[in-house]
Amino acid sequence: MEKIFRWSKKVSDWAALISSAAMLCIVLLILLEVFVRSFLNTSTMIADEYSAYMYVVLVFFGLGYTLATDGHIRVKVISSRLNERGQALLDLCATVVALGLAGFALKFSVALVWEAYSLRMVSETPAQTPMWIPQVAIPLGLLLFMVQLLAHGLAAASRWKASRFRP
Amino acid sequence: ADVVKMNLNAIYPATNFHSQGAEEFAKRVKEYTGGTVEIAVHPGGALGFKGPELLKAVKDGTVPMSDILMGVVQGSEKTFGISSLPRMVTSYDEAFKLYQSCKDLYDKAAAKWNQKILYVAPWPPSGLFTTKEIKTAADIKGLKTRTYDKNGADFLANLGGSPVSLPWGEVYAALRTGMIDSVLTSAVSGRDAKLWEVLKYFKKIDYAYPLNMVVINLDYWKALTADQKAAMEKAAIEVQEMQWKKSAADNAESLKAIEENGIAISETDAALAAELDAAADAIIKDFVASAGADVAAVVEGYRKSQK
Amino acid sequence: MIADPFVLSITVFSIMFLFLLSGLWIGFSLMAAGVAGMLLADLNLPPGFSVWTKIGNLLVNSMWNSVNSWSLTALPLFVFMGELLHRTAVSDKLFNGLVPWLNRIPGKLLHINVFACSLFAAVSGSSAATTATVGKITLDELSKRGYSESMALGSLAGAGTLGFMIPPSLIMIIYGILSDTSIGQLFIGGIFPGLLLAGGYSFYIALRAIVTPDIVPSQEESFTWAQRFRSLRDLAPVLFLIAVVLGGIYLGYTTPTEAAAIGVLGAFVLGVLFRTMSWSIFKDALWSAVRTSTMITFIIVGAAFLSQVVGFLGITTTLSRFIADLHLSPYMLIFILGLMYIFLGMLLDGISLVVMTLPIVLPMILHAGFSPLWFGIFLVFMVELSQITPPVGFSIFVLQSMSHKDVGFILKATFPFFVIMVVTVVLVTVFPQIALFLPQKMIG
Ligand code: NA
Ligand code: NA
Repeated sequence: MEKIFRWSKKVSDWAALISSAAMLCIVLLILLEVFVRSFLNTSTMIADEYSAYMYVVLVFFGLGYTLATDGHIRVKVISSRLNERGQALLDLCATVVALGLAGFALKFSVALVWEAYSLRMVSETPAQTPMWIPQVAIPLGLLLFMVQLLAHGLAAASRWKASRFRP
Repeated sequence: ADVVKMNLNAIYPATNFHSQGAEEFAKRVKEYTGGTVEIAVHPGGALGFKGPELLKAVKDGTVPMSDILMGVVQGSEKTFGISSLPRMVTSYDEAFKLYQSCKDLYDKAAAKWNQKILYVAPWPPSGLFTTKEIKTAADIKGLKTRTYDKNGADFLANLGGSPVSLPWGEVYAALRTGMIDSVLTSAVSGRDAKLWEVLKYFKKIDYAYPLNMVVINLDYWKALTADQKAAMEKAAIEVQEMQWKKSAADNAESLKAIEENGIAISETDAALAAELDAAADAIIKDFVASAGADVAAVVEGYRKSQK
Repeated sequence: MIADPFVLSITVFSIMFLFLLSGLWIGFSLMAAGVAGMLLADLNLPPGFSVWTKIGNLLVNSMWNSVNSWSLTALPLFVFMGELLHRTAVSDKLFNGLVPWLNRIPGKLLHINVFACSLFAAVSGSSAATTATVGKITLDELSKRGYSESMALGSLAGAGTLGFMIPPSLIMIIYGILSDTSIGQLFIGGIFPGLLLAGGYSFYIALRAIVTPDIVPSQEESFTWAQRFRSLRDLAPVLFLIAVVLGGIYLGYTTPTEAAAIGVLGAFVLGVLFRTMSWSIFKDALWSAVRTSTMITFIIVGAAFLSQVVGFLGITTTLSRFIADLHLSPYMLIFILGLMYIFLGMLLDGISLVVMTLPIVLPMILHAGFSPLWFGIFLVFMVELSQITPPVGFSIFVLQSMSHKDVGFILKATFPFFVIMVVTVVLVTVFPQIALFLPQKMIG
């Protein structure tokens, strides 16, 4: 169990590193655009398009890390009134629903990327970017998110199990 | 009998004539099918689609019907880029002729994407709204122009301008503050955005007459009865004719409206036209080279017939 | 299968609240409600069509479409900028720069929260960040000097919410995208209402200090004018950033997204100049920004999907028509919406509040003849109110963790400022020019 937690933590940290790199890319790309426009009176023609792609990378690779560091918000009105056992059970149920939704989205995001690839869809911009490249961030990110959700669910399950033997 | 209900995604606001055409189509379909087919039109992008993904969305039946600006989906299907090529046509008559020669290509491309084109309607021609008057091609040099697609950006860049891509929502503010000084768009859009508050001139460069198409997913289509299909096709033919007239009438009205509000309108003379055609030529050649042989044949055939 | 859109909408929203209350993450709750809505509706699919495929495609479409947006990219950038500033000496300097100017006004340093929040709000996009950053310095200093704790907490809660009203503002970015309103104009439109609100707070503090003098310590610090002018140097960095970020937008050199990127650079440079920037601080700020942006965007994704479903099921049109048939006067409509927002704001965070209600509310508002720009400002007020109402109020959470007081005490301290906010909303509704004047004057 401990091994799984350590491993999933490592995975989400790596993903967060990619997210951070994406954030820096956005900043640099847009600053470059402002510079090029102000001083050279021209345009990179890709700043708007690629910063949006980077944002997709930032968000989807950040999902798991955000969960691991308790960054996703939830309403705790009911769970805060429950005992430890009830909290663990509610958390477990929530995680199962979340896993189901993430897995469902994963399945269809793979289809999205595959179709963009096989139908050779490109962006309607000067760069004519093949759409599957930025879109592939969605299934990859969701997969990493599911790893983290699984670890979260296991932790909740073990808390529930442990509390069973207490009065 | 069971009533068939379908959602139609309309990309423009409810007041736009394309959206109104879709509403009219829905109304007639309901009437001609005796109420057995009900189409709910959702204008203003209320269904959450932006544009480029619409071919695929209709193909999968995620949305059964949609109004699509053809040029916007050319990333998925090159064929649909024809109507947004610059300076291919310079009047409604020519635009219709070009559409006639491309119709088979369009239908084939749509079928490949598991859909059927019900009817098409043209946007009024795009021209240049500017702060300074444009007399010759040299006046376009250095203009910071908001354009709406890759072709427009390439076209103006070829003429020495600096095209800027910007969400339409930011255009008005960007004009007021001088971030841009011109807009490539139709008189209709110029009127709706009250561009006379910020711009003074409109040059009718007849940049393009881009087409919109209203399509239906083939699985939904095949599930209809023969009578329902016939009724829909009847409505489609009528609405198509109506929309072509409406587009031209709207254009004339808008030109009058912007002129009354103080915008000076001018025509393109032969010298400028030649320069514009030269700037467009490279773009059309590029397009033809990258599109398939059948697209190339039709486009080149049409261009020869015009000379 | 539910055919009636009205019953369907109530069912969908009940399901959503059920998931929310059971502690499912907010983004997932919205998605779950959307999925349930599609399953319950009478979709009338042709033979061989799977409803699950349709739902899956819609879900993935909203994931891609709502995040792949250049305008929304301003959001992570403003978050990043706020995180950088939060970790540099900017906020300390803000305090030192303001203190010499406040000691002659009735209420003295109690005004520090209002002034510091207004200034910090002009470089920060969120209320929680503004409250936390300013509170980190002022709360301790105020209690050390013997100021009333309840006034200190209340004014911080109230003024901290200015983070969303005074530009830049994450809420305005989100609203601008959803309603196709110029984000630049929304930003500029928030300046006067924000200042009006800040003025209201200061007025109340001064009044209280005159009526009940014991909320302010009696001994006096005194400053010479030379000291005062020297202290302006400490305010310079913040004023510089405000000029860079807002000036660029107002004068049209930059779009809001570009202004945000310049702001990030500016915050970084300030950190280096003050020698408070180190690799580990930079890394902390970056990772924290990733976390916050991801959290917010995931909610936006869920809400985008739910709105798409709501559109598909015809709920929007039905409800809009229902409200239209009531023939409410525009003010009555705003009044009812205001009550609804205050109620929803108790449970929801500000971003969810905006994204979940907008698909239904915006058409009604436009139909009633309000300008989308004005309604954006109104909505920001509603979000600000939601920050300080229990049980879910971000500013309350921040105050709780900083002051270790119980919620009851904080709520009592905050209440007068809640009332001031409501009064300001009424003013901006009766005189919309307060919000609209400046955007209409934007020139280059
Ligand atoms: Na702000
Ligand atoms: Na609240």
